[in-house]
Amino acid sequence: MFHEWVRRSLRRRLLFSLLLGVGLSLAAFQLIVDQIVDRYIVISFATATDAAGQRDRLQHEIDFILLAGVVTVLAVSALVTVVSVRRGLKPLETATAAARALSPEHPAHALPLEGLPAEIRPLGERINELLEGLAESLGRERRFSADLAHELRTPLAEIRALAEVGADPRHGAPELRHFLAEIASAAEGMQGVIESLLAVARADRTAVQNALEPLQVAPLVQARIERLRVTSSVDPGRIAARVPQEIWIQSDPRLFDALLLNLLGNAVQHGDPRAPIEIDWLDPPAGTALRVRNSAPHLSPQDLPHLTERFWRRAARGQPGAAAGLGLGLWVVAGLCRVLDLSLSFDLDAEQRLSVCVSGFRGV
Amino acid sequence: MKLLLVEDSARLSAALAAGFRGEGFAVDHAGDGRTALKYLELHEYDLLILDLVLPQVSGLEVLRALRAAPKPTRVLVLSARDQIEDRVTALNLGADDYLLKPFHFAELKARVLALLRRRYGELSSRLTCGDLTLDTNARVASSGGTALPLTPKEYALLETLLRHRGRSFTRAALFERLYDGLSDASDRVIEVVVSTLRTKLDRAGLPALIETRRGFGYRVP
Repeated sequence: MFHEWVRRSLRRRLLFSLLLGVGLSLAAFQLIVDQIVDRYIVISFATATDAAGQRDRLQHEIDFILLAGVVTVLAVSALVTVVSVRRGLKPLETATAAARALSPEHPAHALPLEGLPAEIRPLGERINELLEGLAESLGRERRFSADLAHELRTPLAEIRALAEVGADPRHGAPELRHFLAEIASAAEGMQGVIESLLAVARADRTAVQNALEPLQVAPLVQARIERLRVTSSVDPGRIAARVPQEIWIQSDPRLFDALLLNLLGNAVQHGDPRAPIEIDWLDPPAGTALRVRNSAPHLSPQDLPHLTERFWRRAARGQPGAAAGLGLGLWVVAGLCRVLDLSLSFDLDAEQRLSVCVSGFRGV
Repeated sequence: MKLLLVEDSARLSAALAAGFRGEGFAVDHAGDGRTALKYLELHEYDLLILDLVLPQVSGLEVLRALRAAPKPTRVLVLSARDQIEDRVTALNLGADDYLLKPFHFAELKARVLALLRRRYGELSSRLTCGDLTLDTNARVASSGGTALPLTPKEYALLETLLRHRGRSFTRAALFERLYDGLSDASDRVIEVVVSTLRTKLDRAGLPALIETRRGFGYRVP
C-alpha cells in the first residue's frame, strides 16, 4: 500500500515535470520556427536575386539553429525533470531518514510530516499514531517487568536471608525448622507466581482450542484444595466444594489447573482467614459456570473493575484489608479465561461476600 | 548498637532481626513508614535499615523526615528497586548506602559495620584499651590474643563503653542502647550484664576496666 502511494505520488510529479518540459520545448520550438521563417524569407529573396553565396550561408544557419535548438530543449527538459523529481522526493528522504532512526529503544520518535506530499501525509500520520501506541505498550511492559522484578526480589531476599541467618550454628533445631518452613513457604509463593505467569505467557489461544480434552471437575478441585492445605496451611474444613462428580468439561488440563490454583489462591489470600470459602458448580441457562465465593470485608463495589489489574491490591501491605498476595491472581485468571474462551464476572453481595464466576465451559 | 529495621516483609524482617540480634545488636522493627517515624521520635538509633516501598509513608519520606533533624543516624537503604534513579534519589536525600535485594547477609552486615565505623569516626575495625582488643567485624573481644567468651549483650556493652571512652552511661542509657524498644526486660538487667562482664574481664586479667561512678553510671576511663 505504501509503495502504491509513493508510486502514485512520483507519477504525478513526473507528469508535472514532463508538462513543464513540453511547455519549455514548445516555447523553444516557437523561437526556432520564428528564426527559421525569418531566414527562409531572406533565402527566398536571395534566390530571387540569384545570390547563391548568401543562400548557402543562410542554409547553414538554419541547420545550426535546428540542431542547437533541439539539443538545448533536450538539456533543459532533462534538467527540469531531475530538479523537479529531486525536490519532490526531498520530504520522502527526510521521512526515510527518520524511519531509519526508529528502534525498539526509541520507538516514540515520530516521522516528520512537514513537506510531505498531501497524498502521503495521512500515511505518515497513521504511522505516527501506531508508533505512539507502540511506545505506550512498550512503556507498560517495562513497568510490568519492573514491578515483577520488584515483587520477585523481595521473596528471593527472604529466602536468602532466612537461609544465611538460619545457617548460624548458634541456632537450635526448633529455630532451624522454623527457618526452613519459612523458606519453603516463600519459595512456594514464588513458584505460584512464576508458574501462573508462564501459563498465561505461553498459552496460545488457537493451539489451546485445538487441544481440549475431557476433564472431570470435582477431583481436580479436590486435589487443589488438598494442595492448599499443604502449602498454605489452610484448614480444609473452611472450604466447601459443591461440584457434582458427573460434571465433565472440555478444557486444557494444565491451564484449567492454573485457573483453579489462582481462583482458590486468591480466595485464601484475600478473604477473611476465619470465614468459609465456597466452591459451587452452577448451571445457569447460558451455560455451565464455576463460582468461588469468599468474604471480602474491605472490598467495595468500586474496587470490582480493578480486580483484574496487574499488581492491584485493595490496600498496601500493613494496612487494613491488605493481603499477602502480589495482586496477580485475578489478572492471571482473566488471562486464562481469554485463552480458554471463558467469561469472568465479579459480584459483591450485601454480606460483603465476593463471588468470582467463570462461565462458558463446554460440556462433554 | 541499636538498629531500626524498616521493612514491610514480616518474613525478611524476622530473619534480619534474628541475624543482627545474634551479633549483639538491639533491633527494633517497623512494618510501615508511620511506625518508623514514631520509633525515630522516641529512640536514638545508630543505624536505620530502610526499605523504600512501604505502606502509609514511603521510605523516601521517612528518609526526608529523618534528615530534616540534625541526627547522626546512618541510613542504609535496602530495596528491590533496581533503577539508577531510585539509588540517586535515595543517596541525594541523605542515605549513606544502598543495597539491592536479594543480597548476602554477610555483605549487609559488613556494610552496616562500615557505616557504624564511619558514624563514630573510626578508621579501623579494632578498638583497643590496654591489653583488651575488640574486633568489631568479627564481634570478638580478646585479651593478649586470647578470645573472651562474651555473650552478644556483654560484647555490645563493652563495645559501647569502649567507643565512648571516658563517657559515663546510666543504666537507663545503656538499656536504651542495648535492648529493643519493645523489650519487656527491666533496665536492672544492665547490672547483671555488667556484673558478668566484669567477672570475665577479671578472669582475663583486666580487673577494674569498667568503673562505676555513683550517680553517673558506668564508664571505661
